[in-house]
Amino acid sequence: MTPPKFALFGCNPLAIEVAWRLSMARLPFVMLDRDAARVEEAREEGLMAERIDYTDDDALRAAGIGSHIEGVFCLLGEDSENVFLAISARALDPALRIVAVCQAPEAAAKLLAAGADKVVDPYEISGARVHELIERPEVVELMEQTVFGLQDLNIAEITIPSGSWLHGVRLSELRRHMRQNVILLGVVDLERGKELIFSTRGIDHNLDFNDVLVVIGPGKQVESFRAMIESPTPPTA
Amino acid sequence: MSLAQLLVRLAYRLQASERYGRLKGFFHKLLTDPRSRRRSLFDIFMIVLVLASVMVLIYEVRHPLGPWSDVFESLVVGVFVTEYLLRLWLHDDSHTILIEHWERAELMGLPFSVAPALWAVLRQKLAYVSSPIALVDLLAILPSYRPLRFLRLFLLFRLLKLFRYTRSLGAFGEVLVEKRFELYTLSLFVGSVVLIATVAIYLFEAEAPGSQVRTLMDALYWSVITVTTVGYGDIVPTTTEGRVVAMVLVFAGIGVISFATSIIVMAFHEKMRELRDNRVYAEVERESDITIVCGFGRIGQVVAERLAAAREPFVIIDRDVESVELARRRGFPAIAGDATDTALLGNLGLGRQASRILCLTHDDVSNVYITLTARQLSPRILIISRANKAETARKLTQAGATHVVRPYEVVARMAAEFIGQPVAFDALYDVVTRAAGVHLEPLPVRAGDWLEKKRIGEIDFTTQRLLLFGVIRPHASPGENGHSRYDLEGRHFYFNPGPTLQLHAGDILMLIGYQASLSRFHELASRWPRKA
Repeated sequence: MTPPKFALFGCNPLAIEVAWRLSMARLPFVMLDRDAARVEEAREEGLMAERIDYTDDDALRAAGIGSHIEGVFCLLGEDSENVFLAISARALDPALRIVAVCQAPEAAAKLLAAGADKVVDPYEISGARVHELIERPEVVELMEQTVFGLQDLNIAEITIPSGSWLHGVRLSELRRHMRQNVILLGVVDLERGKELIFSTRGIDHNLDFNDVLVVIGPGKQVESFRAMIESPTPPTA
Repeated sequence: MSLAQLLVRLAYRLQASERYGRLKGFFHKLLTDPRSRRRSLFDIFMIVLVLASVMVLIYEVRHPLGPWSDVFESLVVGVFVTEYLLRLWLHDDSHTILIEHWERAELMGLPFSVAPALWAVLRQKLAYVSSPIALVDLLAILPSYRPLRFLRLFLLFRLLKLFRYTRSLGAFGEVLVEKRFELYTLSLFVGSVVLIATVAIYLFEAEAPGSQVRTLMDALYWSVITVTTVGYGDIVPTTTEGRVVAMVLVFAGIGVISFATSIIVMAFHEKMRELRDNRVYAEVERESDITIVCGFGRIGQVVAERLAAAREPFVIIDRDVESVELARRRGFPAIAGDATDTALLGNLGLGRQASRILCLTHDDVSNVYITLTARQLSPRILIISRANKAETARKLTQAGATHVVRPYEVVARMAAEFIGQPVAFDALYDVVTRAAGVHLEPLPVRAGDWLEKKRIGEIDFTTQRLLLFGVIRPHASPGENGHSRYDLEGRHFYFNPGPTLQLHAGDILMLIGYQASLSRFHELASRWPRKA
């Protein structure tokens, strides 16, 4: 059995929903909680769950944080618990991806300060969703059914590896070489910040190692595009 | 008999006359329709007129104004009389009463007699004339007919007319009417206390040496001044007995004052909420395309803030009074009440000016019930409901919800997508929610549009700085092969279609680009002639 790559803290309905999503995406994960009864509930749903005291660093290490765990979801019921967990996890592994939910809006900043990469405010985004449904139902429906849904249309990020032919190539040049049925949304140059450089913008970005290409497309097409990016030689057009 | 026939014929003619109906409609809008804009203008005009006439009256006491004031006075009275008569006319439709009587007589085969029918008409009009507000109107007019100096005082009744034109003043009157039992008890109590005190002080003081109480009127005046705790001190008791009466009366006075205060405070406290609710109803009446938000919890708050930012009209309903207070403090129109109440939703104009309802309470059971109630009121409205449990989602759809939002699902989706590809997810999420400069916008293809019948290859999206994400096409339009196709409900989505796809009216282009490029393209698409 492959060791789990993701750890979900909290065995509540929200965590079960996330677990369900992860299993759809075939990502190996484990659910962890302090409360034995809740762990049992998750097990009854057929999910892999374990009891753990997350205030204990050794227990966290034993669960795989700092070794095989790549991402942590802090889905505990209290903001204070999530902050504590984020701090502990970040201290154990600086490269870990940490997603946390917050209950009170003012907890978001604290969670970010504690080391979370992303804070999700359930009320905020649900409210935003409701408003979007009023304003632009086509867009929400489309995205929910396709990209964020279960149909074979996905977003993907492809990091340009060192040794790729794309180093020093302009964005427009790459667009000319694209034969796959994918949309290149843009590039994120992580050295410059997290902002997306939109692909049809006037500025022709010079591609670089470690730039992240953001694409949308069906699974296979995205894979083929990824292979093209990662190959050391440009495709023969 | 000929009189009866004449009257009935006249009644039918009025019934059929379009001009009569229009005329009455016009005055109804001007004078009585609570929703019309003209009425509020008329009300303001009347308020100004009343205040002006009273001000002239006051000014005239010291400074004679000459003939102009008489002209003004007759003008004011003219307006008042006209208004009075118009209101009397608008109060009910006399011709329908006549027709009703006549038709009933016909149906039963009885002879039609004019007298009862006319009596019924008169009774209706008398009912109006004897209503308090009509009496005030009448009192404002009557004194002008007599140049008697004393009756001029009654001109001040005109100020009472202000009640008619301002809703909040009207509420004051309503408070008094509603608390009439308590006020009646209070006045009975005050009356007997004052009576006893008056008689007592008169008995003790009237004949006492050096006393200021000479008459029964003095005694009454002293009692009233004392019982209300005003106590001018112009008349004071001199005998021991009189002083005892005064002491008892002072304590009775404190009781009276506190009782009266508590009644009025209570009444206003109760009324205040209703007043504010009325205000919200009035605001809602004036708007169109309004959104009803049920539940002002965290999600409701977020939605309300967004709607307010987008300057879209909305109204909040919450069962919890504290939540309603919170909403009002933030300046949102809110009503305390149960959203499952059909009458409440009807008052807010669901199905008329309210075209959307959002069921966002914490409780799934309530949400289902509100959804069902709203759907029964109108089949056309948009209903968005929140489901906390996964099982509720289907029930909500069955109950008639257009869209169902599950907070846990939304969070789970975000969290799961983010953890896999954080950079791409953030980028796309910003585009979808329009948080960054780049937006994803739908552009419908209309019949006769430049875009209609165009092939994708013929449109140069790149020079327009746009990305074509795809095309949404209803199932009714012919499908095309050779493109990646995805199923939506009742529609297909062609992702990144090839250059051969031809656009039809009814298609929706999904474009990604900067706001400026998008609006320019929108403009071009609608402006260019088809052959360009």
